[in-house]
Amino acid sequence: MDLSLGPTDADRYGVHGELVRAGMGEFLHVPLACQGELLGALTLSREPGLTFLPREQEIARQVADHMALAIRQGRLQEEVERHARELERRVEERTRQLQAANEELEAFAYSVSHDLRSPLRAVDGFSRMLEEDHGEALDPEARRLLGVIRGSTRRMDQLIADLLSLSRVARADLQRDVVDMETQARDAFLEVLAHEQDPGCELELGALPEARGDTRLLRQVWRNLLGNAVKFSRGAAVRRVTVAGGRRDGSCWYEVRDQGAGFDPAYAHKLFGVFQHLHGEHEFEGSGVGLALVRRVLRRHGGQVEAMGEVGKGATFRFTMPDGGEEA
Amino acid sequence: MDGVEILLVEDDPRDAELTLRALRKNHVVNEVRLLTDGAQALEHLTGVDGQGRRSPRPRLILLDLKLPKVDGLGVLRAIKADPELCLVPVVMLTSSREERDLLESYRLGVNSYIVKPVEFDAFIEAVRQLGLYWLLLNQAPGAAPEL
Repeated sequence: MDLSLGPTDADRYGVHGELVRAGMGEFLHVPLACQGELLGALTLSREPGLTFLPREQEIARQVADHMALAIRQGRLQEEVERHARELERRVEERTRQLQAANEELEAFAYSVSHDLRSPLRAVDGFSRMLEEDHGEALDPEARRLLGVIRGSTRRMDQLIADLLSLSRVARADLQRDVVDMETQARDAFLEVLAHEQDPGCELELGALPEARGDTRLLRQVWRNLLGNAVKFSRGAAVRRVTVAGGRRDGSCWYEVRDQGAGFDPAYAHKLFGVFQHLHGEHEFEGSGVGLALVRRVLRRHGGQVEAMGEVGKGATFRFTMPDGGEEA
Repeated sequence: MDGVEILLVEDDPRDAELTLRALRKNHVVNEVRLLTDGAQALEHLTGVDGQGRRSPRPRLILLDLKLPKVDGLGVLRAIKADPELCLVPVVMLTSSREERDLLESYRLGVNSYIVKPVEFDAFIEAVRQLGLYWLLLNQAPGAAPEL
């Protein structure tokens, strides 16, 4: 194909017109195209009578191809930068929204912490005052009713405290400590036993890998899981809690196993919800926040927790966390 | 002569009644003055009488955190910034166990921070220990002038 053209009507105007007036007579137009898209044209000109040789046309075509590629790359670059700016803007916006939501949550928790406890203290305190000052005028049934009132305020107080600690987990800045999980598990177990009426429960503690995370929050995980294990082992034939752990596929896993009351696996999915109980309150006390807190702590660490069990055959809680123990 | 020894700043009348009862129950016989907002507390603490004398310093100030007008932290700040008052022990007696309240109170120089237990018996016990410690055990520098 001969790309060389003589001056046409269109060439009398614009750049062509100027070139013609400047004495140019031969023109070579080469399309600047890249991947089927026409980006422009490369126009070469020389004095009349000097035609562009096929070799020269070939060179022009190659130059045009390079130019087209450069133009296209420039445009892509611009586009990428535009997208990056847009993305950055959106991240900033979302961060602002998130911060606002966090602040609201914080204000809410703060208000709960202050304002919900005061009336509760009055209910308990004034019931007690009634009992103290007018106890002799009250018959046993009246005193029983007062006892129910006071028991309920204590329970509500515990619920508020647990909800607050749950919200604190969401709000807390996560520390990245190297955590000796064996120590944490052992200390948490002793802590749990100290609150147990009948502390005749054994701990079988295997070797556990170190974890990378927030010591305080992970301690809470152990306390809640071991607390449950001890609690649900009450009255069981074997009161032993087994703790094991190891490394697998870039994760650390830890397990708390008991041979206590267990649970119906059909309801396993409900275990980690807030205020969920699979046992009546008359059987085992608890606010129903402990496992929700465990899950929240582990999720914040990029980990997860699962539960396995059977009624009357004990329960096993296994959690995994990204393996950070090997890092310097 | 105003013999106020314990200044209780508490806006919730129920909490105030509980605290006063707890003090009485624990045989704290010192005179207690109850004020119900932060501005009143500051006025009482920094005000002067007809002869231009300031009211005698209390031996102990029990301060709620959430108060109308000037809140507990504001009162605490003013007390600790006042050369006359800064030696009086201030005990925060509050419902909040929020870390930021604790931190801020300690930054401002609080002497104790007590979370009021919801359970009455625990509350009585807390007030007992508090009274025992601050009124009997603890030696404060330049305590209330000998009368």
